[in-house]
Amino acid sequence: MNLTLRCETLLEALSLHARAGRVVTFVADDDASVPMTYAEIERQARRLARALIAAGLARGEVVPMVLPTSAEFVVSFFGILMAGGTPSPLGLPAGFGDIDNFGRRTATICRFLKAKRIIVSPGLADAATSGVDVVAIVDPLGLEGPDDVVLPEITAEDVALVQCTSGSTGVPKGVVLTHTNVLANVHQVGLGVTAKDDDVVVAWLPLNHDMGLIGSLLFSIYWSLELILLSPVTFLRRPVSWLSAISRHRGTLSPAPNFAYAYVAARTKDADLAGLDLSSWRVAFCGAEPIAPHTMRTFQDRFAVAGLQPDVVLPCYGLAEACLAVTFRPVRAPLAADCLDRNLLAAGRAKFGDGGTGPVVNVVSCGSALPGTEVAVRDVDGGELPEMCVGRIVVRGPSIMREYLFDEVRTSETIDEDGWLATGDLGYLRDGELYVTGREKDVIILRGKNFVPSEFEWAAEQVPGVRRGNAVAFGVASPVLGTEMLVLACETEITDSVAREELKRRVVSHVMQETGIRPDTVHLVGKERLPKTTSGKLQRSRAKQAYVEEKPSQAWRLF
Amino acid sequence: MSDNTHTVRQLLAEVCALDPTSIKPDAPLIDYGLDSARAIDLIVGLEGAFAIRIPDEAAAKMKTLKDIVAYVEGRISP
Repeated sequence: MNLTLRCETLLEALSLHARAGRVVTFVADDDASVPMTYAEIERQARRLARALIAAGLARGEVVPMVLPTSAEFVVSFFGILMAGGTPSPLGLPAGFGDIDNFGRRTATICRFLKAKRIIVSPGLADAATSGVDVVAIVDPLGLEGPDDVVLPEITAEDVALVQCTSGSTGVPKGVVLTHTNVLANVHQVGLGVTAKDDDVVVAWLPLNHDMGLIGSLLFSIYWSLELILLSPVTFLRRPVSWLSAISRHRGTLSPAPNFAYAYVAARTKDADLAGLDLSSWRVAFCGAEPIAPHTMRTFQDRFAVAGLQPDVVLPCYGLAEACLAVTFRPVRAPLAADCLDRNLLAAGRAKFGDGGTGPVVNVVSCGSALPGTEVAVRDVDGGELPEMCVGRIVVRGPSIMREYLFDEVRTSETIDEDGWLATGDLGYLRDGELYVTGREKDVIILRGKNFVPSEFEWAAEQVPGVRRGNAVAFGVASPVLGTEMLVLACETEITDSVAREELKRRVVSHVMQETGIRPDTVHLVGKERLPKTTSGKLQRSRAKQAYVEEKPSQAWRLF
Repeated sequence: MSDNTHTVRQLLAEVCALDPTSIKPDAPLIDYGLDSARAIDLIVGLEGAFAIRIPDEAAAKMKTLKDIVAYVEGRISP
C-alpha cells in the first residue's frame, strides 16, 4: 500500500502549519497558558539556522539538544534541521543529586554522536560539556546569523532525527530516521485515529522520547492540529494538571504509557474531580510498555464521573526503530485480552485457557498493523508462523529506520535484505491483531521449555511486601543441572531479617501457585535497587548480569 | 540547628519514612532512599512549606540535606 503523504519534509509540514495560522500552547506549572504561533517558531528557527551555519555547522552534523519542553526546544529542533544538521534530543537530569550522572550520560552520547556543539539549558551547560569537547549553545533564541546565509535544500531522504536509546552504560544506540520515515509514521497514526481538523492534542511526555516528540509534537504539526504541551515535571508533581489541560482545552487525543494511567488515577483527589470535564477525550493512546488490563479498568472507572467516555484507551505497539507506532487497536474498541494456557504458551502455542485449574495468562491485544505497515511472526529459522503461534515479531514498512548510527553490523543483524526489522519482541497474531508476550532475549528456558519472565514477576508482585512493578525474573544457567534455574529478584522495604525470610517463602509459594513453576532462588533487594532504563523499564539482562557477577556498583547496588 | 534545617529534615524524614534524628546534614541523600519518585514528593513538600519554586535542574544539583537548606535559604525572603 502506498501512502500519499501531505508533504515531503518536516520543514514543509512546519511551513504549512504556520501558514494555517496554528498555535502551540505551553502550559506552565501554575496552569497558565503561553501560546506561540508556528509562524514565529519558523521565523526564529530560520534565524538560529543561519547562526549555526555561520558558526560552521556541517551538513549532516548531529546536534544533541538538552532542553525542557519549551519554545527553545521546538525552535532548536527545526533550526538544526533548516541548517542541514540532525537534531538528537537527549534526556534531562531527574531527582536530587543526579547532576553528575547526567553529565556522564550526556558526555557518553556526545562522544558517540561525534557532536561538535550541543544546545543546552544554561543551568546544565557545565555538567553537559564536562570532559567532552563540545561547544555549548545556551541561548538558541538569541543567536543571529548574517541575513545572506543561504539555507540548504532539505529533501525527503535526508536524516530528520537521531533517537538515542539507553546510554547510561555500554554503547548507546542511535536510531537514524529520515523525513520520509517520520512523516509516514505520523501519517499512519493519523489514519489510525482518523485525525480531524478540530482534534486537540494534549501531551506531557518528554520531547526526547518518541511518544512525545513524534507522537505528539510532530504528529500535530503534520496534521495541523492544535497542541497543548505540559512538561513531564508538571505532570509528575501534579498529575491532575494533565486532566485539567484536557478539560480546559477540550483535548481529544492524548498519549501516555501504562504507568501514567495508574499514577493519575491513584493521585487525583476527589476534590480535584469536581471541575473536570473529560468528555472531549476520544483517544488515550497507551503504549511503550506492557499494558495491564487492571490498570486500564481502574483508570476508566476513576474518571467516569468526570465525563470520561468508555473505552477511550487505545492500546498500541511500536518501537523507536519504527519511529514510534506499528499497530493500533481501533478507536473506541473495548480492551481485548486473551486468557491463555500458561503451559502451552511456554511451549510456543497460544491456546485459550479452559478456566479450570491450569495456570492462565492474560495478554492484551495491541491491534493490527497501521495502513502501509506489515507485521509477521517468525520462528527461530526465519519461517513465518501461522496465527496463535508465539514467535519473533518482525515489522516492515515506510517508518522503519534507515540504520543504527555508525553501526553497520547491528543494522544488518536487525534489518534483513527484504526490509523486515527484527523487533526483539515475542508475540503472536490472532485475527490479524498482535499480542505481545515478552522480549526475545529475556526468555527463560527451564528444562527445555520457554517461559516469559513477566508471568513470574507478576505473580511475585502480588505478594504483600514486594514492591509493585519491581520484581524481575531471569534464568541462570546451572552446569550441574544442565538447565536454567529460575531467579526472582524483588524489591522490598522490609529490613527485618526474620520478616525477609518469611517474605521469600511467601514469594516462592505464590509463584508456584500461580505459574506451576517453583523459583529456585528469591533474592530480596532494597527499594530502587533493580536496574532500570531511563524511561523506568526494568532491565532484566542487567539484573541477571549483576546477580551472576556479584559485582555491586554505584548505579546498581544489588547486594 | 536553624528552623529551616529542622523543617527540611522533617520533610525528608517523612518522605523517606525515617527517624529525623538519623539524617545527617552531609550524607548523600541517596543513602536515605531518596529516589526519583520520592524526590517529587519532597520537592512538592518543600515548595509548599517555603512558598518557593524548585526547578528540577536545581534539585539535580542538591546532594545533601545541607545543600537543600542552602538553596531554600537563598530563595526565601529574609
